Amino acid sequence: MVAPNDIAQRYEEIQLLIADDKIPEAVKRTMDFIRDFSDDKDNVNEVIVISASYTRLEKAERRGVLTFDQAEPQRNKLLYQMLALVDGVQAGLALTITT
Amino acid sequence: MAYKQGLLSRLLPDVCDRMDQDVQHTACEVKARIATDAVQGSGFLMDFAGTYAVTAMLRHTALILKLNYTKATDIPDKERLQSQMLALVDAIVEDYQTHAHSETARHAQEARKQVEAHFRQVSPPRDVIFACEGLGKTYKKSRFSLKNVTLTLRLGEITGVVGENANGKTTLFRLVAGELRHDAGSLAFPTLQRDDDQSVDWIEVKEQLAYVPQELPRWYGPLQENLQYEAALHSMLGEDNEREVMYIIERLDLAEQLDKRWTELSGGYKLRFSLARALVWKPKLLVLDEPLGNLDFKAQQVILQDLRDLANSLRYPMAVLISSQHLHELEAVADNILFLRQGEVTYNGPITELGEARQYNTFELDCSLDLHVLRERLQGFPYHRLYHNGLSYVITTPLHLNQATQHWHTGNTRKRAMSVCSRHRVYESPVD
Repeated sequence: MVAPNDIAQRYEEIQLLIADDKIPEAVKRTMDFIRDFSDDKDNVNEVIVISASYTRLEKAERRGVLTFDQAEPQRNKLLYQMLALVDGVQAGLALTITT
Repeated sequence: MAYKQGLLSRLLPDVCDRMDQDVQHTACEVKARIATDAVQGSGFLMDFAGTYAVTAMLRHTALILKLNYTKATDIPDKERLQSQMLALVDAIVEDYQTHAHSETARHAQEARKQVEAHFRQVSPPRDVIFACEGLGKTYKKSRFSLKNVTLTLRLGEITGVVGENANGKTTLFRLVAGELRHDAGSLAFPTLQRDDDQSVDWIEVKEQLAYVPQELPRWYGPLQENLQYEAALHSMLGEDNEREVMYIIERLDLAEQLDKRWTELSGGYKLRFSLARALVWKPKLLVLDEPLGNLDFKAQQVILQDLRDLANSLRYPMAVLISSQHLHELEAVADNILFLRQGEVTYNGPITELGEARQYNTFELDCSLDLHVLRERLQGFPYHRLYHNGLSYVITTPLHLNQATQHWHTGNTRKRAMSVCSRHRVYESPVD
């Protein structure tokens, strides 16, 4: 089990979940990450939007509204956005802690 | 990461040259792997990006390419992704050579290290939330008694209570939740009360304690409004209310069910919504009475993993008290286990120490042989007991099977029996 205060391991956990095609779990752990490490409510709002968009995308793919080829770029975009959010939180923390 | 050594570029330029040669050498190996086996190669690419990429986007791309290659089914898609992987290797080499030894990269790496060190010093809270000693309750009519329960619940920990029906689990949970009055022993909520007063101020405690009973009460009206109402009751208003409700809806994967009525929900989703209502206001103690009973295996695992992750939060940790009739449902996530049999505690302690005092191991055997044929096959194998429990065979063996079997038959017969024995170990639980 990843220690809750080990920010590096928490980040790595999210990356590995994505690489292993466990995206719903990765989204959940990103939500936990943001809640634990960010004071910015906008970050919480952003991760909620990412999660909601991913749920909609999955639903559309499941119902055949979107093909795999159509869904892939949208999924990639959401994942880039999610990883950038986590990076942004870490960068923000670095600024707060070092100044 | 290699770029953490950016300082070297100024002090030891020849070392940097060697590192630059290393990156090129490693890049060639990664490319060769991708070309021969892209599945394996994508894993190497991830490691390569993690080690050498200074720009975060390149690391992200490596992850996403690995994911997409796993998901792709068509050969043209796979070939396209494979060539993207090869191009990414070159991009990472260029990125490394351009940025790795720069001041900016060094600062970024140092700042990241400081953040990591900062949070390593922040100990996750493990305060005692609930403690009871010798707790008991007797029902005069049925003469059932829950006796002498001593229990400590801490933030971040999950405590599982295991016992068959009518052994006192619900009674214990109702005592903890303040739904029943105890008639023996004492209980306290050390960190939930502001005053050091000996008596429990239930109003104060219940503001931080969420109880999800076995029989879930029906919800009336739109599901989202129920959650908003619950959050509002705990002083979450306006934007905070909306955000917290949406957060818990997404976190527990409930968004697709919001349009339904309560009566249209499956048992699993009724439980998840009840859990959402309990969690939306971030309680410090969550009491769940047999939540897993009506769920299939996968739904059980999802709920338990969610509970484990949420209990373990750094910012909002909580203590979880959860019950089940089956140890195997809880053992993967619980930190502590308490067994109840006929109202008495037969084990209370860490899950890691459970079964240490046992004299036998018990296994399930999944095979279609008749009992007498199985007995024949196991002839000479030093088992203690073998029977069929209606679903599968159960075999009880000495603790040290390897030593015990050294004089047993060799060859195929032994191997076959050993393979069926190793399928699943079941603890010799005090309940069984």
